[in-house]
Amino acid sequence: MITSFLRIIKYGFQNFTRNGWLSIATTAIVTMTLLVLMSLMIFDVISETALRSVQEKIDISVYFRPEIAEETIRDFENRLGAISEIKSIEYISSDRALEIFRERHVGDATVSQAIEELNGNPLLASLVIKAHSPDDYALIDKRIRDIDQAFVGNLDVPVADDSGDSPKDREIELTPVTTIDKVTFTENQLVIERLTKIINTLQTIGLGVTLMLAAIAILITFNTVRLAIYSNREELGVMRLVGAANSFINGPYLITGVLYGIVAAIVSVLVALPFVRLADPQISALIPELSLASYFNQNLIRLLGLQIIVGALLGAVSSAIAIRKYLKI
Amino acid sequence: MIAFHNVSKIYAGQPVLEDVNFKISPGEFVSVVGKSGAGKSTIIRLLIGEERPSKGRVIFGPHEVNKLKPKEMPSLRRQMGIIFQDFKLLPRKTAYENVAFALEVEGRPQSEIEELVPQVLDIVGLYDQQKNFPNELSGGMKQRVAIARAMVHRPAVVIADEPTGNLDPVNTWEIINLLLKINELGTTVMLATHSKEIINKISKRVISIDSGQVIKDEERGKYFLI
Repeated sequence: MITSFLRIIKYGFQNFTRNGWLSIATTAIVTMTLLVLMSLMIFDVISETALRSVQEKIDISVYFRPEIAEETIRDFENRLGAISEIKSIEYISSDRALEIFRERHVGDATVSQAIEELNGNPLLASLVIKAHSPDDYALIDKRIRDIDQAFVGNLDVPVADDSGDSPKDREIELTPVTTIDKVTFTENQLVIERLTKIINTLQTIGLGVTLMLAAIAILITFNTVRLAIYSNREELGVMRLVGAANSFINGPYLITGVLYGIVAAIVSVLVALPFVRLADPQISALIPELSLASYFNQNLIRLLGLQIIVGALLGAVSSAIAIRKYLKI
Repeated sequence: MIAFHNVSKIYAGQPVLEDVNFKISPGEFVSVVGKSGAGKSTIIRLLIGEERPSKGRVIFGPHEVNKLKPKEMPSLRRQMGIIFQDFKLLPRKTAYENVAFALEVEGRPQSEIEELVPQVLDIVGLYDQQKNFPNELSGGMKQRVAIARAMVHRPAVVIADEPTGNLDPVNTWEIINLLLKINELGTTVMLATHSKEIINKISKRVISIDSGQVIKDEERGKYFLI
């Protein structure tokens, strides 16, 4: 049993080496498919990192009017905490806001001087809110104003008519009778929306291209194996007459198909390596959080393994189809 | 050992074999004789399970060949050694590898193969040609490789379909002598031929076929067809 299996593998290798250029051509095609697949995976990593880094920068800040007490703001914060779309809420008191402002302008004499000349702290206390998904900010914005309305009701202050405010307003000045001074989105909202859209489109296109190339690779691998089987058909007849079992005859073709895939996987990684090294500085300049080369190095085994599995499957499937169709035993 | 019971084979309405009956006992050397198209090759194809009879039973040892499933064919053929007019060697394997292949399909261990193959190639006189590919060998040599392949796994029966059809007289007699030698060692041999000279000289049992029918079956037969 094991002896036969080893012999099948041996003949699979023989098919591969004795059909020189045909093997090279098929391997090249499978390599191209795997390269596209790998580019797609790398693109995925890049786009995800880019998106995440931009997403980290987006938040919504709720500035409270100076007369609102900290307990009220804390209460507000607690109510916001019940909203599942919200990832984090950070309370920044007006003192803390001033501190941050000072830190940020520590070298700037004019600003420091201006602050010194002011009586007291002109900055407002605020809640900085981050959502799980950038799509949720519109909803969160609405909720903030709902809660604000409730507060206004509790405070027994006449409700202001803010129906003129559309949710699309990036900066909404609320009327003075609310607890909130203003709600701001940071500038990134539109950028993120656009980026998400572009990335999604590119991923869809990439997937389409990969599927198409995979189909072409299957057809060409299939055709190669078919040609090999066709040109060997007399030999196959002879093998049958000598008493070779079916598995002994078609096993080697399956092995050859798998070999196409494995060799193609190794070649595709070797081809990709210098390109990754070359592109690394540019991509790092674009997205400082990402070093493509180190990502590639860290995941080399995983990438290679995945490529080998996909390549071997590709080769095996097309061989199996060709065998079924052209090796009627 | 081998028996045909009322075997008929019809191709596209044309009968190729009609009610063929014969039996071959173990250890016999039987020639099946007939003109081209008489049905010799059809008898062999039915025996090795390449074709199924339209009617009748083909018996090989314990097997009823006409009822075997495709899956059971390999094990049937491993009990036979088959030799063809056109040698049917594997072109991309050396003489050694061709002979070894008959043992490999049975799953024999490598050590046994390495021992047996040179021995058998020595018997057919090709010890020095082991590493040659078929296209580097003469017709007679190719046929001797085929004989080595047909006997290396010690089959119960060696079946030869016009083995000398492509060979000159000298090579012809070398091949026939090898077959006689195989038979002397106890293997049943079935030889299909249309060569009058061979039949008359070896004086073994002859089954004569004409137009798909057995017209004569005699011990120490002579060739009498035109």
